[in-house]
Amino acid sequence: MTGPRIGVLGVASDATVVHFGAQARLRGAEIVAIDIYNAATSGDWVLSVPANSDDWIDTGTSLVAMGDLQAVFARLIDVSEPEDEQAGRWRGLMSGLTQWLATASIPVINRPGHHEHNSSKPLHEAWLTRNGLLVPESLVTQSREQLVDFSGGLPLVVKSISGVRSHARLATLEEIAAYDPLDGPVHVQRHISGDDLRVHVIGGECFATRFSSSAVDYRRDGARREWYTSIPWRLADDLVRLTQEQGLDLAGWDFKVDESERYWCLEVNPMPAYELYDDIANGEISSGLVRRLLSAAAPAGSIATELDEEEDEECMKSSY
Amino acid sequence: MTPSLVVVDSTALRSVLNEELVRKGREAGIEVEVATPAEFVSRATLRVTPCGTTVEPGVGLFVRSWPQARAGQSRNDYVKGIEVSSFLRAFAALNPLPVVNRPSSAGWAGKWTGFAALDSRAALCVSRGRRNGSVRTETYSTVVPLDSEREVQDLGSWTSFYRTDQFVPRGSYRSRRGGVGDCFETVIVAYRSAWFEKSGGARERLHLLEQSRQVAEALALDYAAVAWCIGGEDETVARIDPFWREAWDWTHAEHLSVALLGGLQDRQHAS
Repeated sequence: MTGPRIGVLGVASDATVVHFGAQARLRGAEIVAIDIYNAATSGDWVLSVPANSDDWIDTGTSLVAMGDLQAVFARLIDVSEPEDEQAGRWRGLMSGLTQWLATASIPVINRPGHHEHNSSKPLHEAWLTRNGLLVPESLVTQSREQLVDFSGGLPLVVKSISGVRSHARLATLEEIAAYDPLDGPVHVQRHISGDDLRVHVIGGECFATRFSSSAVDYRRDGARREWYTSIPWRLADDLVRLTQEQGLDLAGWDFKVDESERYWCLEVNPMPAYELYDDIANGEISSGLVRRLLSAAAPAGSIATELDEEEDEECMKSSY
Repeated sequence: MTPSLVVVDSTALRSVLNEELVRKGREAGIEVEVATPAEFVSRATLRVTPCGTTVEPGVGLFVRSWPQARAGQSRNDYVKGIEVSSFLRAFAALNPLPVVNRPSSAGWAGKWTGFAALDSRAALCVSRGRRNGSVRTETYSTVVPLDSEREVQDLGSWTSFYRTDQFVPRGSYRSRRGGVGDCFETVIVAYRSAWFEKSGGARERLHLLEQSRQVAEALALDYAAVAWCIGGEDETVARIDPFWREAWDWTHAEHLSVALLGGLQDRQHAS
């Protein structure tokens, strides 16, 4: 006998996708892996908007009837390059899947249609500040004078402005003084010393892991100390509320905890790579994800929003 | 002199609409400047503090286009374009002065996502209770379904065509039911003004003007082209485009510039 059928949508080389699939299987779920790289490069698909029970994806190695899925864990990452000759296929598959997931009436983590401000860090930081979180002061500029003035003689953390994957690093005073405006605008933030904290929020639950490291990016520090921990209930309440407000079921919140135990919010990730933290938390995050997906899992075949006619004036039943 | 409004446009700095905005602005005492995204952000600053957000310079903004990936572009230039876009989005969203199609937490122009089927449905959901047209089911597929006549877009070449019964090779397509007998009406919306793209827009379809205004309002768009597909009695939203720039640039530039400048001034007075 098999458990509920969870679709795992993503690129097979994505460690988070692999980790979730393995952990969910250990917890009794039947996993249907859908490798979007294979599908985009050599497969076929029919995906309707709104979602329909008859839709399917052939990844080249397996044919998946989307109507059989009872819940979905999705990490849609387009790995094509701008001039990729397969760009049209990636465009079609990603657009189809994004809208399919947005309209399917089964649990989806995370359902498309949520807030997108994490892809513009200054907008993201303004949103976090406006919602009452303590956020290190930041500046985006292409002026060396403004940069030097903002630093006030202290090193600054340099981050990307967009959601492009990059490593935050500490810029020295010499680097700040040598900034060339021709390099384009730069995003800097005041450096907060202290431990790093990652809080994964899944529905109404929080899972916190803490790191003590001398590196700016603790993930690249082999000598760090790490432990599973708890956070003040008031902060937990805020994070659960703000995660929901963004239309997210899963979010990864990053904090610095200074010597006064003040929690400085750096960002919230709408598609967090969580496997490192799950290992520290003894699989509790995976358990939370599976619980969340299965608590509302739909019976097989109930994917479609009900459409009696081709033309539809009903609102979508998703959270979009 | 510091401009009151900056039109940010990466693709056509000397478009008729841009020139008309500068000219009409001057007549109304509004200094309008046209700049590329890179030019604009090179003199922009955004600061987020616990007390709030400040942006400089203090100007109204109309972002007509975002930096686009170009053929032959280096990876470095590509990423730089994304960085500029992200800065511009934050600046436009957080600017206390009027912004045409102010970006939101959800998207780059109002609540518009760029997915036609989702945007159309969202617009209709918000305006539920008012008869406001309908939307059609779309299909994304590698082969075009044979169940009916279809309006098809090839997502590799961006070409559109109708499939009746001819063979269409395997590819990547977006399609929806529709026949060669369907016609399209596009309505341009700029704040409270709305008009048909083509003069002679059917008199029996004047209600589409108000419905288009409602669609734009539901997506928090000040400016958009709303394309309607009309087949028999059915009027369905086919596309909502807040960055539309086609033939109207020539035929509607004067009307559009007056409507946009008027809308921006109204917003400024209201705030």
